[in-house]
Amino acid sequence: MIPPYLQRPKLSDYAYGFILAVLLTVIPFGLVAYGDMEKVPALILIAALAALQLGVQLRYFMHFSTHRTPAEARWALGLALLMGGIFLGGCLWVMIDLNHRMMPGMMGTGMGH
Amino acid sequence: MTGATTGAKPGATLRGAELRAAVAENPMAGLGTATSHRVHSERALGFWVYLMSDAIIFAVLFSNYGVLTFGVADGPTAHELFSLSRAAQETALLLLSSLTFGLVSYSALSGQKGRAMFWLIVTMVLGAGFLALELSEFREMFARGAGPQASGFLSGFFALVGTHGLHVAVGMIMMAVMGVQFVVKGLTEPVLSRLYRVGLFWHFLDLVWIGIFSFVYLPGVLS
Repeated sequence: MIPPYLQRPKLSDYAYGFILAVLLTVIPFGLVAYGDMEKVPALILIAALAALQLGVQLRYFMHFSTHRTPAEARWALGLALLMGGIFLGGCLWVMIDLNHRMMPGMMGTGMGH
Repeated sequence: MTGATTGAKPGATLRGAELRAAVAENPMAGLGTATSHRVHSERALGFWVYLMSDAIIFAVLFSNYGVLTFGVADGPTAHELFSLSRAAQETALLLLSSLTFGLVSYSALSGQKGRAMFWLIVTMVLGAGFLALELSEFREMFARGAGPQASGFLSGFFALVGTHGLHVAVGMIMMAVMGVQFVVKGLTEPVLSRLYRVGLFWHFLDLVWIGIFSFVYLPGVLS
């Protein structure tokens, strides 16, 4: 068993990773520069492409895999994803909920006048 | 079952034909002993744990930015401040530098010190280009009164993007140290072990940048 830091990575890995990363970067930038999508679907698409590119770079640049990455590091990644998900999802949830509650007041319809 | 009591552990240094086959695919595989492999593998694991805890810090900074992003007060908005073309240039530089760092790792693990040094310098030039663009952006923002004190949105922006920029600056120092060690120590086991960790760090910074252009710059320009 050769330790990961002495294993020579494959050049093809970097090539695949780079081509996929360029595609997954050009699409969202093009969408914002030239696209005419509605804002919310555009933001969802950008977030989905970002998640995809995260996976691509983890796999092809950081060589995240079962035989090169220690099992404990996979648990650490799982924990980071879980906590990141709770932070981001929780904040988004609270802020959107707050927005819904505030909107009628700000529009001048919900306040008693 | 034999071997368990002789002190030879699984993962011990390879011998004979096994070693030759391994070295053809991984030219530096012959370096080190079972003990040194264990020591450096533990460092690799420790570095993964550090990176993932750093990822949690960035998750908090992203959440913070998400909460503050509409708190523009009377200050300038994201749409007025962000330049799509500069964000694209920064993204291109950082993504290219991630690829060239891959070539540093590949060259070093092929035993080609000169080539590894060349790609390390290319990576540092790309990293410096990224930092120069980011600093010019920050300077312009400060010049028009859009510093972190101007609004909640800008506090969140500088906390997140500034922390990432600081990481990139630290990564540049790490690469400079690697360059010196290539020359002074050569491609020894401890140097390759360090290079592996610096590589993880540099690729990780590109990962964080994906989040920054996707959740800060693109939505900001879109709004």
